[in-house]
Amino acid sequence: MRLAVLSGKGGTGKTTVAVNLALSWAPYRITTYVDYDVEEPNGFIFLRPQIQSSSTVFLPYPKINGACTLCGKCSEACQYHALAVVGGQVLVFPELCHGCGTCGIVCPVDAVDEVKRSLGQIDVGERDGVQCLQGVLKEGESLAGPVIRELRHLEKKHISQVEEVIVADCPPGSSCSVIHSAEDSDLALLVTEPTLFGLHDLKIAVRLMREMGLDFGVIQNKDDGGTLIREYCTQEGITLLGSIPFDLEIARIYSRGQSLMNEPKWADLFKTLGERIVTEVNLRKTRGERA
Amino acid sequence: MRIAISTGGRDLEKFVDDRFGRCPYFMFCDSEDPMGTAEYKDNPALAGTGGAGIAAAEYMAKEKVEVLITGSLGPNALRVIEAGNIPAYTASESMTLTEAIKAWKEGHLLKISEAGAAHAGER
Repeated sequence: MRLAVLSGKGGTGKTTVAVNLALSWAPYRITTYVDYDVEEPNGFIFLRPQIQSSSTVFLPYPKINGACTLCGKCSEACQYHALAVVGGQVLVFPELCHGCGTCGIVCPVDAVDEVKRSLGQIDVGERDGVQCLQGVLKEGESLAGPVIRELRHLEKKHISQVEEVIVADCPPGSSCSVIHSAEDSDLALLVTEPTLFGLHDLKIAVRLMREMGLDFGVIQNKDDGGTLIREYCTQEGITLLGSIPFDLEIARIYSRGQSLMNEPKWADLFKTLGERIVTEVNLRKTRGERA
Repeated sequence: MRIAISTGGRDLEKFVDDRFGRCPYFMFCDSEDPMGTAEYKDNPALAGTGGAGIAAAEYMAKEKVEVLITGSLGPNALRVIEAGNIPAYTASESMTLTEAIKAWKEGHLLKISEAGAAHAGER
C-alpha cells in the first residue's frame, strides 16, 4: 500500500501527518517512510533515524573532446542552452544541463564525452521499525527531478512485501516534483488547513489528483472546528479522512522536533486515522475490482 | 563596425531595453550609417525556459556583432560574450537607440566587465 502525502500549500502539516502515520503503523505493518521533498527534507528531524547508508546522486553533463569541429549541432539541439559554440570553442554550463544526452546523439564526430557531477544524496536509515529514506538536493541546485527519480527507484527496490506500507512525504505545490513523487500511489492524502490559502491550494491539488486519475482524500490539520474545508469537501464529494485539532500542545511538541507518539491522546488519534486510511484503500480496491 | 542593441521597439527612436537575454528585439546596424543600415530581428532566446542569456550571446557571435550595447549581462551571458571577444557596453533604458549609438561613439558608455545579477531580465 503506497500513500502519497501532499498538500498544495506549504506548511499545512504534510510531514507531521506522514511521520506520525508511519510511526503509528510501524508496530503492526512493515512501514517505510520516504521524504520526497528533496529541496527541504525535514522528516528526519522528527524520525531521527540511525543512518545505515548514503549514496550520491549524479547527473551526467557533456565534456567536449578534441574531435570537435565546432559545427554547432550540440548547441542547436540543447533546449536548455547548456552549450554555446563561440570564439572557436564550446562553452559548457553544467548547472543548466538536464543530463538528457541529446548533444552526444546529434554530434556527427563523437566529440561529446559524458562526465558527471553530484546533484544530491540519498540517505537510508531506520527508527522504531520504520525504514526511512530521504533525498537531499544540494544547495544551489535547481533540478529536483533526478534526485526524486533515483529515490523512487530505490523505494521500489526496497519493498518486497505486498502488505508493506509506504508513506511518501511529497513536496508542496503541484509541479513535476509532486507528480513524480505521488504517481502510482494507492491513495493520496491531501493535508490542508482551514485558511483561505489552504483552501485555494487544496483546490489546485484536487485538480491535479483528478488530472492524474489518483484516488485521494483530505486530512484537515489545525482544525478550528470551522466549516470552510468541510463544506468544500461536501460540495465536491471528497472524502474527509480525518481531522487533527488546532492545538497548542501539538505545536509545542512539533517545535521540539518530536513525534506525537509519546502522547497517548495523539497516538490514538493517528492510530484511528491510520485505520481509517487502510479501510479507505481496501474499500476503493474492492470497488475498483467490482467495476 | 557592426553594432547590436537590445531594444523593445523596431525604430531608432525607441529605447534601449536593459534586459539582454529577455529583450524582445535586437537592432543591428553599421555604426557609420545607423539610419541606412538598421535592421531589427526578434530575439531568438526570448521564448526559451532557461539559459536565455547564453542563447542570446551565442546569437550575437553568429550575427558577427562587433559591439554590443545593452543594460547588463548576467554571469553566463558575460562568459559567452567574452569568449566571443565582443566588447559590451552598458546604456540606460532612458536612451533611444540613436542616442546610445552617439554616446558609444563619443566614448560615454561604460564597458561591461562584471556580471550583473543572474535572471535579472525575468520580469
